[in-house]
Amino acid sequence: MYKLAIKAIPFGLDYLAATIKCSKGVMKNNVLNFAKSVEADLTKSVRLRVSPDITIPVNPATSAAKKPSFAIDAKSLAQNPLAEGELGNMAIRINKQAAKDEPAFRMYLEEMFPGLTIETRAKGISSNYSKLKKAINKKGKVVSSDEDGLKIITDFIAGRVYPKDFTRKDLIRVLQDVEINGKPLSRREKRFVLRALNGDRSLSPSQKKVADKLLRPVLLKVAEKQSEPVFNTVMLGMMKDALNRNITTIDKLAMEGVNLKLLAQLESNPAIKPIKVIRFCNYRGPDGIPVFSDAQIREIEKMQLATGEKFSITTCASDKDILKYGMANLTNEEASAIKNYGYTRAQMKIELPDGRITELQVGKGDFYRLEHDAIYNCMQEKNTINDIFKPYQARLLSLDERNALRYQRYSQNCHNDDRISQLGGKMKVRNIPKGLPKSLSRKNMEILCDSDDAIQKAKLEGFKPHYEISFVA
Amino acid sequence: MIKFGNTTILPLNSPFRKNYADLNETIKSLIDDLYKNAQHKISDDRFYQAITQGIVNGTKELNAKGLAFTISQDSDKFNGHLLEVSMLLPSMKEIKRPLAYGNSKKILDFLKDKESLKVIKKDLLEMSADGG
Repeated sequence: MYKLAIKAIPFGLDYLAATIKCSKGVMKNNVLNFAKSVEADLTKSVRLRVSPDITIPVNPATSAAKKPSFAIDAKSLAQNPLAEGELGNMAIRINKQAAKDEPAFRMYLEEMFPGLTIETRAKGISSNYSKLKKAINKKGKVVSSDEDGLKIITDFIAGRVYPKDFTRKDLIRVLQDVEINGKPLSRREKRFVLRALNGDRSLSPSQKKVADKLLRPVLLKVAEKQSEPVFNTVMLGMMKDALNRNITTIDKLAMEGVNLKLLAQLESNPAIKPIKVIRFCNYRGPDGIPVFSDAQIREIEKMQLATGEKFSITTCASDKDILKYGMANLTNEEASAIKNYGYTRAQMKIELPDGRITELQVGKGDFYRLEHDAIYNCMQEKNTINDIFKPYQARLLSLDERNALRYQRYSQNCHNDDRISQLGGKMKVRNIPKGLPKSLSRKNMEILCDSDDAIQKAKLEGFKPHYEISFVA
Repeated sequence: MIKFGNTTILPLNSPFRKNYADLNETIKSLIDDLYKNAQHKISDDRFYQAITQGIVNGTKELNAKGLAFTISQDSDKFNGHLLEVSMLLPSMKEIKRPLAYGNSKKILDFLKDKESLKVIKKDLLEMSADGG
């Protein structure tokens, strides 16, 4: 292996080098001649190693350009070897822009949600590249400028807001006011529900029956209270934005039945920050406790009717929901498409004042990381999965239909355990059901994910992005 | 017709399932049926279960597995009803949009109004594009 520094490529990265790989026995002169020809003719796409395990194609000749040299579509990707490189350049430019804009986005969120934990991140170069390529090849998109690319990526910067975890004290406070079917809970009912949420196994069968009946409706109400500060901020921000753009009035909002307390706040508080939401998702697993309640989603729908500007609200279908579409018998493919592993989070697409789109997620949970990094990535058979996950993946993919369903249920329960703990209940120690391999347990997933993080961190030490040019002499 | 509580589903041998169904006709048929169903069930002075009318998508225009209309009541107000249209996407996600909110008269008037068809069609096509 020979290395050659190519100084003429103004990529804006800290360190640039071209690594020329060739088969053994090739004369050094041949390699150097090839290197010179590459240096002289940089119109060829080469690969940029963006992380220790990932490379993307780039076109060094146009790396300083502000837009692609030509419109990139599925045909050009298939026929023109430079198209992939142009797309790689765009992925880099978008990442650089996102990294530049991220601090301002973070400040915007911190001002909007004071006192709440905020995280932001710029989407990585390889994620940008994969998303663009997929949209072009599978959805027939054409990109002629970075603006076209941003419309496809939609989360070039993303933020997360974490509603505050409820303590047991918060839970008890909410239970005092909770009404189920218009009736407050009796002292006895409250006691049983609290004991159940505390993981008390000494409840008698009749006490357990009372608690089980009330548990879900109570948790939905508690979750609504927990997400209320975030929801109210978003809802007030959306109404403020609509008022600023003169697409509605306070009277219209009131006529469509929007909560009067919120409208009073909207009128009296000039400091409310506008926010333009263009897409709203409220994901939950079957029987899961979503971040936002049905009543909160209804408020958003009423506001949409008052503004006349509608955006789609997405949830995960469950087996129960599909009955209304006349789909009682699902094919295996359809059944597996349902987010059955219990993913629970709210996601919004936000349009910034300059027209660019970002993403805001609401919700948290330790199991989210495990489900994403282990179950999701392994089920999707992503080529970025590291060797450490291979035995886990083999076990997961070899589950028969019955055990696959049991494992889904286990994953849903792990998500629900996290939710209960966030809502002031006690976190259960959940064992993997008998008959399922122990290597698929939450504990093992945690070990795998932590080890993988450590391996990645070690690989990144001293790593710098660099070009790689491969040829066979 | 098959009924699950207040949900009505067209059977597998529905004419909508043969070849491609006309989108306007599909919407019209669904809201006509919903209107008939809602007339008896919607109430401004008592609680009722959500009323739903759904169908497996047979139209060419919509990239969806199914579409449905739902009328439901506010939890704290008998006379606050929300009419929504929802769509089951090929990814098995469900997306929805509101069509009308108000008392029972407002909802029934919306369903009877010929102009509503245009609003619903626009929403459905946009939802289909969103999901695609």
